[in-house]
Parts: sequence; C-alpha cells; structure tokens
Amino acid sequence: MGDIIYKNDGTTVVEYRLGTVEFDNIAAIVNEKFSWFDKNQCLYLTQPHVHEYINKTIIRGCVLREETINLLGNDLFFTAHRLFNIENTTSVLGIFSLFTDTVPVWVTQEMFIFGVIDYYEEYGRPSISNMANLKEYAFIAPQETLISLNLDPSTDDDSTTAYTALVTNNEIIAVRKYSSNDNLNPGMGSTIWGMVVTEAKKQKRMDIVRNLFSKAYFIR
Amino acid sequence: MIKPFKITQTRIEPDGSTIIFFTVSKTAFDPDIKRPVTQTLETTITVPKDTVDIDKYLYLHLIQTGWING
Repeated sequence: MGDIIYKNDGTTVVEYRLGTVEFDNIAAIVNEKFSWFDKNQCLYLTQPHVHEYINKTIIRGCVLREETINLLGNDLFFTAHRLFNIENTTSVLGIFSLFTDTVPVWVTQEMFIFGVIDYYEEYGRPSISNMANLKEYAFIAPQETLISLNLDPSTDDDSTTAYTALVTNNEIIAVRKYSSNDNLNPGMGSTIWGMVVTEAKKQKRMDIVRNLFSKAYFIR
Repeated sequence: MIKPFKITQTRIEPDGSTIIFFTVSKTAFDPDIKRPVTQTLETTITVPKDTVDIDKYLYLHLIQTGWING
C-alpha cells in the first residue's frame, strides 16, 4: 500500500512502488549515501522530505514484510519502514503496529488511536539520534477534532484516509494526513483497515476493531 | 537495538575459541516471480579465543559472505 503524506506545512509526500521510474530515481539518491541499501529489498520509497522531528531531509523506504519478521522474530505488526537521513547518512527502523496500550495523556479531544510507530536502532548502522523518544500515533477523529489540529478532514472515496500525530514527551509536535496511493500503485488492494482486522485477530483483540468500526466518524 | 542475525547458542571449546550457532536471513524482491524470496542460513562459526566482541565478529563475517549488506 503506497501512501500520500500530507504534512502540516502544506507539503505533500508521495510514495512510489518498486518498478517505477520515480522509485528508481529515489533509490539512486539513497544508494549514493547508503551503500548497503538494496532497492530490491524495498517495496516503496517516498520523495525526499523534511522530517518534522529531526528537521532533516529524509526518505522513507518500506521494508519487506518477510525481512521484518526475521528482524523482529514475530509478525505482530502492520508494516515496517526505514527512515534514511540523507543529510548525515543515518537511519532507523520504524515498526507500525496495532495500538493496544492505554490512551496517552496527550489525548485531550475525541479521537481513536488504532496504531503506533515505534523506532529502533539497527546493529551496525549509524542511527538517527533520539528517535526512541518519538512515537507516531495513527488515529481517526471527528471533523471538529481534525480541524482543531489543523488537519484537512476531506476524504477521497477511492482511498483510505487516516491521521497521525508525532509525539515526544507527551506533546504533539506535528500531525499528518495519510491517504493510500492506489492511483499510482494500482491493484495493491490492501488497506489499513484490512491490516487492522488481521492484526487484531492475531492478537485476539477484536474488541479494538469493534470499537474502531463503531465510531460515527469512521469512514471505510 | 535490532540485530540482523540471531545467535541461538554458544559453546566454548577447550582451546578457548567459541562456537556460535546462529541464524541469518536475507529477503529480496524477485522481479521474475513478482514476490519476495527469503533465504535462511542456520550454521555455526568459530570465533577465535580472546575476541572481545562476538556480535561484531559475526556481523563483519556476514557482510564479507554477502548475507548482510555492508
């Protein structure tokens, strides 16, 4: 599932699939800095963009599910990606998984958190500093909450839309809107909601799915 | 810290060297069959006596042998 990321500063970041010209062009940028990067071990790459937390230009690359299972020793996650800081040749592994914790204290308005991205250093690879202090929470929320967070509540009927909050020390430092990029990556079929159901079943947490789908502001 | 290999067992030999039992996998997208293919290696390596960092020794060996991209 390719993403389009809509950042708070008005920029839009598109993710391209392996096999496209755009992917190859971005892969060349990553390879120039990271000799260990193999484009055949990556399914999607985003355009270079400035990361809101580290304030550096990064490229996000989707990690193959099979590789992630081998790295983690389990399959309890939605997706995984690497952030490549192309300014100082550091990277970090992000794991996007079902959110099963209690509601964080920074949640002060109506919203439903269904996923969270945690970041990990990888052995032998210089790491982006302080990423363990960052979490990116994925959520849905009523229109008024989205607007108060400076998020665009409009959705496209042909794609799946969700929102994220980048949080450190219980403070939101940025919010993002994500849509699936199916027009550029036709035929992929999987949506985040399908992954939520699959993971909830695996972890015997279908209560999360029932709760998510019962929200009046949930849009399939 | 996530490691790209898993040490499943270690055994110190009478000469002071250490035998490491480990697993490593490599996944890549195969354009011919349009899906990822994973190769897994389960084997051992003998680490010389007095090697300070066994993880580093194994990591560098796996780069040299092409199991990890270096």
